[in-house]
Amino acid sequence: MKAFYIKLVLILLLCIFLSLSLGKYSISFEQMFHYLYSLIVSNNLNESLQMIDNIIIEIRLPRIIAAVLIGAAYAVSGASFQAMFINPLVSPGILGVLSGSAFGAALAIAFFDNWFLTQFFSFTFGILAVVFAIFVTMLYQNRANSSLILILGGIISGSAFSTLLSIVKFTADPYEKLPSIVYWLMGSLSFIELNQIIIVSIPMLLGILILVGVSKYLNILSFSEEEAKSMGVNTKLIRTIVIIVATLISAISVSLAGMIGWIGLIIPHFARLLVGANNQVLLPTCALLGATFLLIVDNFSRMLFEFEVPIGILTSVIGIPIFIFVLRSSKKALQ
Amino acid sequence: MIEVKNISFKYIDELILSNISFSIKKGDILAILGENGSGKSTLLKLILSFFKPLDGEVLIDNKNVHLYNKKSLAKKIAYVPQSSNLPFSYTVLEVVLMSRISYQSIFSTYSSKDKDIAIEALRHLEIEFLKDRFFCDLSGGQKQLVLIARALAQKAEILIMDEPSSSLDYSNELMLLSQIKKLSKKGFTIIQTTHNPNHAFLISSKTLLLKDKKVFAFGHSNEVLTQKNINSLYNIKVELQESSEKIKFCIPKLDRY
Repeated sequence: MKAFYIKLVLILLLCIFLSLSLGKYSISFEQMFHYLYSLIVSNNLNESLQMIDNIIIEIRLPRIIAAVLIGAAYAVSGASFQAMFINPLVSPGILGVLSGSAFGAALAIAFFDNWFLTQFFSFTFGILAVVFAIFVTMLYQNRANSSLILILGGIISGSAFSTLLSIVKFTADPYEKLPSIVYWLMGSLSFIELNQIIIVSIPMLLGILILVGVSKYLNILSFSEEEAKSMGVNTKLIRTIVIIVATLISAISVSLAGMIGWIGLIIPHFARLLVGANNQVLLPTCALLGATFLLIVDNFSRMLFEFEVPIGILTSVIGIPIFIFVLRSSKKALQ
Repeated sequence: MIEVKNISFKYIDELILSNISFSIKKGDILAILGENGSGKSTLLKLILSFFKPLDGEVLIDNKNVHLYNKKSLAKKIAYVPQSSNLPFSYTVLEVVLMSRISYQSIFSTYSSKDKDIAIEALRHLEIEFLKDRFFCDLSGGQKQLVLIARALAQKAEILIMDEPSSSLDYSNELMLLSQIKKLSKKGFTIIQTTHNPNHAFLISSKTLLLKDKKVFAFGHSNEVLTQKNINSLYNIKVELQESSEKIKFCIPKLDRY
């Protein structure tokens, strides 16, 4: 197993290295090594290296860190939700966080013209949507299967915020605001700044680690509530932790980069083909695969054409055929 | 060992069980019989402390089940559910290992000792050869045995089984009954719900009949399962016979229908 993780980490590191050198301004490997050597060993950058330093540190590195973190966060929260809801077709948006975030961002874009407020609204409304879903669930408590009711609450909350989003779009200024909202919804990693990504990387990494930490309990939750209880698991506590953490890292991801779909659904399936269903192995694998996948897709997004292709479109274009292929080879997922 | 004292239970607004009392000793096999909806499964869930009773209490080793912390209760009493369909492909060994969770701290993971205990439990039920197979690919009987192995690996002395043989074919059903009997001889205490009075004759030392939310009869299986009691429990007509090995069995009379 260790050898397998090392392979995945090496592949990810290789992708990071390639992503640093690839781009509109191509940096050769020779320049890269020269730059890294000067940076780390001699700590002295000449003028041409200064420009490379600028491109790498200011432009490419923040994007790469964001792609890695967001890819890992979506994949891990998707896999956690799938285990918790005992349903392999669930994705991180099941409790409404993505719809809430989308509405929040659109609202901020329509009424303010401030990048920070857009992110703040997006994050806040993502959390609010999940709180609303849980509130709906509470109305039905003790009356039926709790997982099913939670999903129902999520669907209700998700639809409510999608409707609100439509209202904002409908009333927004069609020449200036509407295009920005639509563009934001398609997702992009191009607005991320270095100091910001460093700050949010702490809660995101922590969140991913916590989900990996509860993975042995997730295994048991994917049988039934009662079986888990009979084995001495505090099911309520584990569910609460998973919902809070997965919601937080998903909301941060959306507020950073807009709507990027599919990762939370396909990467867990793909990872399950490789390592099986045991969440203790599955979640770390999902984190590494999700990170690598989004990083690769983002490279296509910035280099495929003269203009940047919205990454939400590309993850779907690449994700759908992969999903069809994966489902074909894992019939069990749908049985 | 297990004492149920004057338990009543209400689900939403409906009274499900009223004033249930009985007690069993170590090594007993208790069969709980009753019509569909008579509250058999609810009673099991009250013993497992999933529900809080409206009134009364369940004592295990003279201590109320709700006063145990969750982990130490899991070391006393294990639950064998009816095997369900699982959308994820866990291996049999992974499934059995899960029951070792009550022996873990938040940060630890299953040790090689836990693994040995899991394999020992599989060997106990003579299904060690299944350990690397996917749980979801197994037959109903094999799944049920794996779930029992999981309960054994939990190292609890009391096993609670909810209709363990309900979905099994005839030979698997008998294999399961004989495994349950073997377990009780090794000192396990077993409570199972069943729809078949013959199961109680074959393996159960005690029988509890539930009717109209109350205990209809409780005691040694041969004394409780009389023709009269079975007839009025299910509103049917049966005849009791005795096999050459002096085991009683009942045959229903179909002409009533």
